[in-house]
Amino acid sequence: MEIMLSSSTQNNSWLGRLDSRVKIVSLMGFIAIMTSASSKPALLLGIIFLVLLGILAGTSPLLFIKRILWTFPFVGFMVLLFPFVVPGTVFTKISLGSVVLSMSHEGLSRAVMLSLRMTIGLFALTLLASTTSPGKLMLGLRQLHVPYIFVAVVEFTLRYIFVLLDELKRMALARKARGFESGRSLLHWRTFFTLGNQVGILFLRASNRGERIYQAMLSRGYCGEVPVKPRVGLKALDVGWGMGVLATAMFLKLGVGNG
Amino acid sequence: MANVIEVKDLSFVYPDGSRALNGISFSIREGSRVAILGPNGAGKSTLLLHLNGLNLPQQGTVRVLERKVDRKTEKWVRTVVGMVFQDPDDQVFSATVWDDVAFGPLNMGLTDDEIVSRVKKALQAVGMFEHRDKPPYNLSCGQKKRVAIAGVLAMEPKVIVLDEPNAFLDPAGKKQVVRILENLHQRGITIIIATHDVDLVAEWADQVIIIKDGKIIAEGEPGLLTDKKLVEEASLRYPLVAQIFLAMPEFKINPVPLTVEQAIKAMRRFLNAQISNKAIL
Repeated sequence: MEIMLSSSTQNNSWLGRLDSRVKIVSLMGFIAIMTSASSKPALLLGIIFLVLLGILAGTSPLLFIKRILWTFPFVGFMVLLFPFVVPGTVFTKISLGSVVLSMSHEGLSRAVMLSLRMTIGLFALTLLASTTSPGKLMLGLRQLHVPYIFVAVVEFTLRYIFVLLDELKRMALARKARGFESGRSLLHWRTFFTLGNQVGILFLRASNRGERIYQAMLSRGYCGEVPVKPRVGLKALDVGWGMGVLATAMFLKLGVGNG
Repeated sequence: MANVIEVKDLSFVYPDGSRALNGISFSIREGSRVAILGPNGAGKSTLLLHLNGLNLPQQGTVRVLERKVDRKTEKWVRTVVGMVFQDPDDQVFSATVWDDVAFGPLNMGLTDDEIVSRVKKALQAVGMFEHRDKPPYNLSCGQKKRVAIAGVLAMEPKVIVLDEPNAFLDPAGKKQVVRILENLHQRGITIIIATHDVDLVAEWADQVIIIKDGKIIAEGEPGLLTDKKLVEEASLRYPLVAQIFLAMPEFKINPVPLTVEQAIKAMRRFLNAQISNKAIL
């Protein structure tokens, strides 16, 4: 998270300077159009297109790969399961003792499709986040009339996740300093008890801190909503880029046949 | 000069029944440097929150620029009295230093040009302008503190209240904060701090208010800090310089010096007197 944020705040490439509203709308549009495409080559080209854009904006292709690894625990399992649970033409069987698992073509094909679509969405968001500073992203969302409450939640989460993580780190250190050994099973009663206590304390601290933060905001004139700066007109370059991204998506969806 | 803040018979009881303030009255002149001292839990922070309209008086009144602080004026009060919190992490929350300092002015509904000029001025005043594009969580504690002060400065308040301005800072950081406070004083801003740092108070304050158990037990000049009974009652200690002179009554220096500067002057006078005494002999 830290790496993602600090790298994105210093992005001064051409993509980093584009209007964030255009980036948000065009990349969301790109996701919408591409994920409704049902051709695998088109989806693959869409992924390559996003990575190329990223490279042009100075985002390392490694970052995209890292993001895939992040989602693997959540989505990977489901994708692995697909070939076994979707009925269809069986192409291979695995027998585990008395249980016979059969893999179907349809399932495999659906798993590939799902991962491709997911990757498109993930890469488009990675591109957006790595070329737009959080501040600009929030401003863009506000200017697009996303309800303030959603933007505020994201903004405060981004800021305070570090404060809470620091708090957690200090608590872990203080635990260690008094000889507590972590890494034992959660079933171990004392470990469970200690960690449970600390989670509770963390919650209390977070809530106290939340109270203080709110007071600090009030004292600087906050009254429920930060006024959004007046919007600036879009430049031809911004609009051109947005249209380009959407046109690419349409071309890939309609132009590249099923392969 | 007129009084910027007048507090009269102020009392405050927390919802859990603990009494934080019990009939507090004092007034603060425009442009003065005020230190509020007292043991932990004396009610200092609760009192500060009243000056900024974050706590509204339950009993008694708080007047800022002669206007009573109540539900109707609380928003206005916050633009007149700026508040710097003890822990900068409570206050500094935006994605960049610049955005954070712009938070107050944005809330005040100023124009874009005005915001830019105020934020720039405020950041320069605390020496953080070069860091304007950095995310605050990468800064050191002292730097965060300076950003917090800039965030309040950008609202251009007449009074700035700081809760423990020196908490968690290294000596260089403390020095920087003191220098900033001195600059603000030169510009005519009234400054109120709550602190335990008696040396800072001796060096810096014009007016000292000592509270204990929600009551004012003494009010006056920093010289109060050499009063044995008072210092013990308020769980304070003598300023370091005063400790030396109180332990060596043979110097017969009155009043007891509180700061290094006063001590040097007093010692010079003492030595010169000795030399001229010898010359006569």
